[in-house]
Amino acid sequence: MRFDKLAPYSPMFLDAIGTTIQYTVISLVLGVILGLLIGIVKLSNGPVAKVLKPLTVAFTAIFRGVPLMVLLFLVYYATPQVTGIELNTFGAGIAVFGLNTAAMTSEVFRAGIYSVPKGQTEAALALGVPKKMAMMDIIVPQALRSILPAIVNEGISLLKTTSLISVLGVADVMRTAQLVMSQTYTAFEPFIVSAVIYFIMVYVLTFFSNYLERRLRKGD
Amino acid sequence: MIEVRDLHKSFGSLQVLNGISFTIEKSDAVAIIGPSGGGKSTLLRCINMIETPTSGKVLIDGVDMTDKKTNILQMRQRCGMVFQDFNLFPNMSVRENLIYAPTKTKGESRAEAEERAKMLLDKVGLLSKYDEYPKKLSGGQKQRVAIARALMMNPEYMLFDEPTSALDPEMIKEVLGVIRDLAKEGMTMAIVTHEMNFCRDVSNKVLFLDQGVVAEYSATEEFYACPKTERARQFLQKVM
Repeated sequence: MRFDKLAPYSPMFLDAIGTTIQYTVISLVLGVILGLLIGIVKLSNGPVAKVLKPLTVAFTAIFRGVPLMVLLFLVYYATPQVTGIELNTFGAGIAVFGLNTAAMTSEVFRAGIYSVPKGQTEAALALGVPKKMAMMDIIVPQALRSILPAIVNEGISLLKTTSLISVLGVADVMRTAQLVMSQTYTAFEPFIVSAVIYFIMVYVLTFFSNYLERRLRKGD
Repeated sequence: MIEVRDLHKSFGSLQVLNGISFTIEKSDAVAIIGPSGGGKSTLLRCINMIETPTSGKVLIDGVDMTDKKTNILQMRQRCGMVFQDFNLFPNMSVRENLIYAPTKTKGESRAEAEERAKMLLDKVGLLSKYDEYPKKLSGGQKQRVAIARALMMNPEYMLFDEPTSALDPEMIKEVLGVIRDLAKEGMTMAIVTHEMNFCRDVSNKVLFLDQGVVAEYSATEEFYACPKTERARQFLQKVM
């Protein structure tokens, strides 16, 4: 085994880590915010929510039913053809990964919010607190506590899923391993390195979530 | 003054309230009693529109609560409510539970709200729990904090929905004591309760609710001395 052969490529791997983190973090943040909003829409009975609800259900169904690789190709290659708008790989990747995260977490949020006892909303209303404010300050924080593990799982899965962006030629960790393989004529070493990088990043994420969970639990 | 006029409430095909009319005068302490399933809690929840009545009117100081143009949030602040299962916010400390609504909805300053929170906690005997989280409190303590939280809005009326039903016997007394003090201070209140001795002791009027109608509404002494209706008589015999 010749890991020393990889030494000249370590700056490439470092850049790749940055790229993977970038795709993961931006998609996760956008996806979780959008997922929360969609989750709330799924639970609401207001006039606006009634119109949006079928759309959110269809949205979730599409992302559940179609492989991300297919969606990625559709968004990247077919959008310019249909709309004339050129999307760069970054835009296409963030759109597909972000929306996918939104679709998955919206269900998690829906279930989590639904599990908070009704009396909590009623107590807030009885104090003259508007419903939206009660949702954001009282219901969602309680829901978050129970769904945080599920959200982190989604983040972990997203981190690994971003390796799909390599098929569009983006030099993330996965693509970099491929490039190094083609230049060094070794396969084992670069892919082992990429595997270890992904593993460590997931491990850090898990550690961070345990810390967050402990902090959120201070109330019980 | 709270006026309830011909109030109806049904859940699907189930008629819970069947034309309720009565008036709560300033400084009244009205005990709402009656058999289970008679609609006592539903009636209370319709007064501050936590439950939307099917038909009929609720007027608080002449303001129609069922009117869509009424600022219902503002009206609810004048009408505090205490629930059977406390409903403290578990993600907030006792202090935060108390100051949350006044600072967020009335624009009260934090310092001012905290000052009043301490005063009210002292009043219910729980100043030492100021920075505690609800999880650490006993049932009776939770309910006293819930009462203090409702009082933070400076309500003119208080609605108690079975405030002691979820409590162990030894904790009932401390909660009833707080409610009794409030009644003595002249707070206008309606209490749904199963505590007959307390009801006799604290209320000045008794509303006997049976099968969604007001079977009897009279002065407390009168009600206990000689109930007018047969149903109320039977009920009293069973529970006293």
